[in-house]
This record gives sequence, C-alpha cells and structure tokens, in this order.
Amino acid sequence: MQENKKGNVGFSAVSLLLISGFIACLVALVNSITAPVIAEHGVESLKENIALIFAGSEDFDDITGTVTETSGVEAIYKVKSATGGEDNYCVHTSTAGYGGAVELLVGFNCDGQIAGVAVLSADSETPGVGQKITEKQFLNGFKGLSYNDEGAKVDGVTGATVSSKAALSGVNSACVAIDKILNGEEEEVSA
Amino acid sequence: MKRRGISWFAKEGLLGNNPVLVQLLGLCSVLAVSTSMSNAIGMGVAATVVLICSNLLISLLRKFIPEQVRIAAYIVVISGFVTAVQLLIKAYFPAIDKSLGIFIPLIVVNCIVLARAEAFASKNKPAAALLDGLFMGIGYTAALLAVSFIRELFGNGTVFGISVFGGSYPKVLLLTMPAGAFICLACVVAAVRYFTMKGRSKK
Repeated sequence: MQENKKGNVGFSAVSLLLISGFIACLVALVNSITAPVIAEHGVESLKENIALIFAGSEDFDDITGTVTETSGVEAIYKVKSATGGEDNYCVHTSTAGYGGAVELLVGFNCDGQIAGVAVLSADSETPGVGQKITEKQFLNGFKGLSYNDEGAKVDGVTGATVSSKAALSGVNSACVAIDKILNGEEEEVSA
Repeated sequence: MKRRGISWFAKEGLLGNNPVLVQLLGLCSVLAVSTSMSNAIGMGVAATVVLICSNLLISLLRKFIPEQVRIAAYIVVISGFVTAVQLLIKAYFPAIDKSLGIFIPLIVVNCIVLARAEAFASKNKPAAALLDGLFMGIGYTAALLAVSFIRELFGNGTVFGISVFGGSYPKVLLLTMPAGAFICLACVVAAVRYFTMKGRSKK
C-alpha cells in the first residue's frame, strides 16, 4: 500500500507536468500568432488619440527615456507637427481614479501650452458619473492652459470629484514632465 | 449511462439547470459585466468558448488525470484556454477587450467552468461533455443577456447602445451600479423560478 501510494505521487506529478506542458505549448502558439496583431493595435490606438489632439499629425517618437521618471507619467512622445512647425509633445499619464487607473494623453504645444487632453482609459470609473470625465465639456477646460500656470482652475464634474481629481493630477504630472523636457532637468536640492 | 439527446442538454443548460439562474454559479461575473448588452455578449461568448474547450479536453483526459491532482489539472487546462481566448480577443476584438478588461482573465475562477469540469466532463464522453459545455455556455449567456437587457434599458435608456426612449428619459442610475445589479439579478432569478415552478405544479 505504502509503495503504491508513492508510485501514485510520482505518476500524479508527471501527468500534471505533461498537462501543464501541453497547455503551455498551446498558449505559446496562440501568443505567437496574436502578439504582432496586439502590438499593432497599441500603436494604432495611440496614433488615433494623438490625431485627436494634433489633427493630421502621424509621426511620433517615444522620448520617455530622455528625462528622469515622473510619478504618474507612463510615456512621453514627441509629435511631428503636421504644418511643419516645431515639434509638439504628448504625455501619457496614469493616475488613480475611483475604481482603477485613469489614463490620459495630454498634448502640449512646443511652448508648453495644453493643446488638448484625450482619455485613453477611464473604464473603471462609475458609468454615468465618473465616466463623464471623458466628455468634451470637461476636457476642453484644460485647453489653452500652460504647463507653468500656477493656480489655474478647471471645473470638475459634479458628483465625480474623485474622477475629476484623477484627471487633474494626471494633467499636473504631465506638466511636470513637460517642464523637465522644455527647461531641462534641475538637480533637486536636498533640504 | 443513459443516452441523452441534444434537446436534453439544451433544456438542462437553458432552464432546468441554468448555471446562473438555477445553480447560482459565476454570479460575480454576471453582476459585473451586465451593465451593457454588448458586454454581456462578449463575456458570454468568451465563457462559452472556454467551457466548450475545457470540457472537451478534460473529458478526453478523464482517464489520464490522476484523482489526487484533478482540480489542479482542471485549473491548468481552464487557465490555458482563458489565456488563449484573452489573447485572441485582444488581437481581434480590441473594443471588447477595452470594455471587459479584467473580467476575461477572471473566467479562470468562474465556478461554472470548474463545476462543469468536475461534475460533468470528468465523468462523461467527449461528445456529451462538448454539448454540455455548449449549452451551459448558452445558458450563461442568456442569463447575462436578460440581466443586462433590464439594466441597460432602464439604467441607460439604450439597447445595444441604441437609444430607445429618447434623450429626455430619466435614467435609473441605480441599475447601472453594483447594488442595482444585485436587485435586478434577484428579480430575474425569482421570475424564472416562479414560471418554472408554476409549470411543474400544473402537471
């Protein structure tokens, strides 16, 4: 009996290993088919959102690595202007909202003025309340503000204080990142 | 084991043993994704595909899987299929992926899939297990659709995103929120119970 049990454990382990191996192969196969398609979607949706802010602009470079990390900022893109002027910037931010992360794409003109804000994801905000931050009425409030405007005020959405604040703090972190890019990084003075 | 036709599986999955309305399994996902009918369809189809595939594979492997590690084996099989389905949705239906987000991976812990694996697929032939998966999946989708229809129609004034009552309709916001999901689901379960019981007592 004792030996029989031992043999069983070995058999169990091997069969579990075989099943896991088989499933792993299956997932790897599906992944190899879908990975390029998924990557393409990411770039495409980014392009669409950039075009929402800077109409006609298609070319952009990821310049996230050129400055030190800013909290709340996921990525920074340099967007080639469609009209041939100076380059514009888009900052992808992610801040905590009511139900999860609120992701924004904040567009800045070359001189640091906010050209527009697009919501990449606010799916975990309350439908009909917090998700109102995706509406133009709210987002247009950011337009025309400059990254160094101190005390600029933006009207939040009634009943959606947390979601509004998440968007606000996203735009604020984007401003910090743009400050680093436009003015160069200053070494932090330790107190 | 007695022979059972397709109609038996259909009846069992849709009404007699509906995974959501009668077995009360997988309620978490029903409550969470029933805010809109398009979400319900997406979630229902994804869960059905996973159910069919896992039921089929587990039934094929039922003599090979040792009893002591069967639950672990089922979960490995289920999570493998869920990951595959999630990747496919991400690649080919990005809109659904955006709205369902976290709920697709959570199919792994949806008790319906594990319950059908343990209670049915591990004891029956592959063809029967496949049919069981298909109709349990359809039953799940139907329940999801019923709940999401009520929630979307009254909570948002739309059906599949198309406005029904016009712009001035006062939305019942409660229904789009989690509390409304509980109330709505309870009413649907009660209604289905009422009508099935009524039918039985007449006979």
